Amino acid sequence: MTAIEAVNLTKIFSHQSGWTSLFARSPARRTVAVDQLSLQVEGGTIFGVLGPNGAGKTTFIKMICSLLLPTSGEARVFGHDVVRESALVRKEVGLVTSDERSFYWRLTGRQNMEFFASVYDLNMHLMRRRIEEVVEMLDLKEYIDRRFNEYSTGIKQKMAIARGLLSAPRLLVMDEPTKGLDPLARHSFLALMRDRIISTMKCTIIFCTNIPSEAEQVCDRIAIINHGRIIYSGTPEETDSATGRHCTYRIVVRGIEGPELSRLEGIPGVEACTCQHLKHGEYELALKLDASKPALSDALKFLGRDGCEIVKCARETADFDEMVRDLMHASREGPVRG
Amino acid sequence: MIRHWMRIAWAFIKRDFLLTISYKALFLSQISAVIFWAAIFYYVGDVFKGVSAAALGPYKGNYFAFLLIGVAFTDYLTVSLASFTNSIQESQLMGTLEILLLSPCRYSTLLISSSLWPSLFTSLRFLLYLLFGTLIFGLDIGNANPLAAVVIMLLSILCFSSIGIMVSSVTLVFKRVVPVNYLIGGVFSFLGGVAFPSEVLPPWLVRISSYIPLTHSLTAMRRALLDGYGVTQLLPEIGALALFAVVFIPIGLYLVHLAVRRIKTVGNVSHY
Repeated sequence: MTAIEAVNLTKIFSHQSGWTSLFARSPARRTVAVDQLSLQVEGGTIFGVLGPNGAGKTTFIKMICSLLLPTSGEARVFGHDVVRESALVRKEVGLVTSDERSFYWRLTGRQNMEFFASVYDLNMHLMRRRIEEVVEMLDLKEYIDRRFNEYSTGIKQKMAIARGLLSAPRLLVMDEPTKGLDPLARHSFLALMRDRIISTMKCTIIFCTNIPSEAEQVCDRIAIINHGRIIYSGTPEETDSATGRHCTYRIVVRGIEGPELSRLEGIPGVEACTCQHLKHGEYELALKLDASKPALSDALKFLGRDGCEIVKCARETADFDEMVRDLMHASREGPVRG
Repeated sequence: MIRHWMRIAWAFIKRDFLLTISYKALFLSQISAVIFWAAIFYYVGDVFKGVSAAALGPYKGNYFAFLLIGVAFTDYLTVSLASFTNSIQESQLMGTLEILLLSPCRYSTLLISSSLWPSLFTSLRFLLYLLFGTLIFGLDIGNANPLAAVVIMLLSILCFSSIGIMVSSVTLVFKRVVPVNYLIGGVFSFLGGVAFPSEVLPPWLVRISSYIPLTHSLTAMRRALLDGYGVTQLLPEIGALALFAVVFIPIGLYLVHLAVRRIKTVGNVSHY
């Protein structure tokens, strides 16, 4: 089932404030935060929304959560229109923000949870059960009865997730949930997401971040947004072909002589081939391929035809952060792939 | 539906009670201040003891009782005007407004629920005024009609809340308590008969004061507490208050609906 469907979703902010905004006739300065964005998110997947600060990520997810009205276009959450059926949309959505202010600091974690659970219309019995479940899942037992102002940033963030999960939403929206966390806390947060939340809750997750490696670690698919437009949409693994970057394979072969191997460079799509003698007739090839052309199978066929034995073939891991940066640079000249 | 509303109302009362008692010194000082104010009213009343004032005739010339009930009951107006805007400002500052707006609850339910604890706390203070006034300063409410007093109190809360809700819609959009809040409080207190009977005002101001709900609230509350008037005897005041509430509560809620729509359009829900 489709969890989210956005068609030409657009949000334009007009910068007028105070009393003048109600009566002003002169056109205000306008910012196009989200520009005709269309995408589809399948149910049960983790969808990453990536982009630099000010790209339009938060504006997009706020429209999905019905906290912001689109200027034009449409969006549906599990089939419900975010404008016309916002009450139904709100029943389906849990929001996790990085804003630790959004709790009552003089109350305990449990008192906070009970308040928000009531607002989300959980009855007493269900509320207590859900609180116990999320506390167990997120290892918060030790902290839940302490005052919120005693928590570390990491625990506050876990509390934000716990609150988002209280109503067992079908769609969990996480807006930069690792913001402000130290590397260790961020690592354990992502591990928690992978190992507990995703496997236990089985809901659709929108994971909004400006750190590409985080999206790569947890997301099934990603959309990269810049200047309010999608510049890439696909799996994290496919990003390299979208960037037009080269990819390199390291192949260890036996039973073929070094000079023969230089003929690989004649295969279309093979940009370069370097060869290093290892031991006992084994050579390691570094095969640099044009990512947009499938030249690997031709290269392997070539090697097989000459009767050589392929001992090992591995792709060099490309740096995901770098690829995302490349995509963003490329997007200045127009969308890479939408 | 009623269960849903009760659950939310209880959640807000519990939250606000816990937050209030977490500031223990403030809580105790708010409670203990009542006795000092009651003492002030007693001695001000003492100054006018024996002075014959025709306007105080219906109150048996007892200025202490007149002033104590007037000021103590006007707390409901002050709190109703402030509680909605305070609640919005607090949730804007604390960052909870977005989370609350994302809940499946109607915003009007959330807003009304957020005013319940302030109203309960004001009722507690009002009762303490009456208690200290009776036990320490000899206030005579032996003839009081509690049922009529409760009816007047509930209707007054509804009337004052309608104004508070209207003002809160402005706070949602402009993020600050607008001066109209203080203006309403001042004008109502001046014309409504808080510290002196409205009848002493020039006739044209007396006419205006009859359009102010506080005038009817105070007249009815004093009659119910001091003279033991029943609900049927207070029907003119009850009718005026009910009419005011029926007209202005829907207007207030509609304005809040428009304000929420506006902040969702402008995109400044979480701004403050």
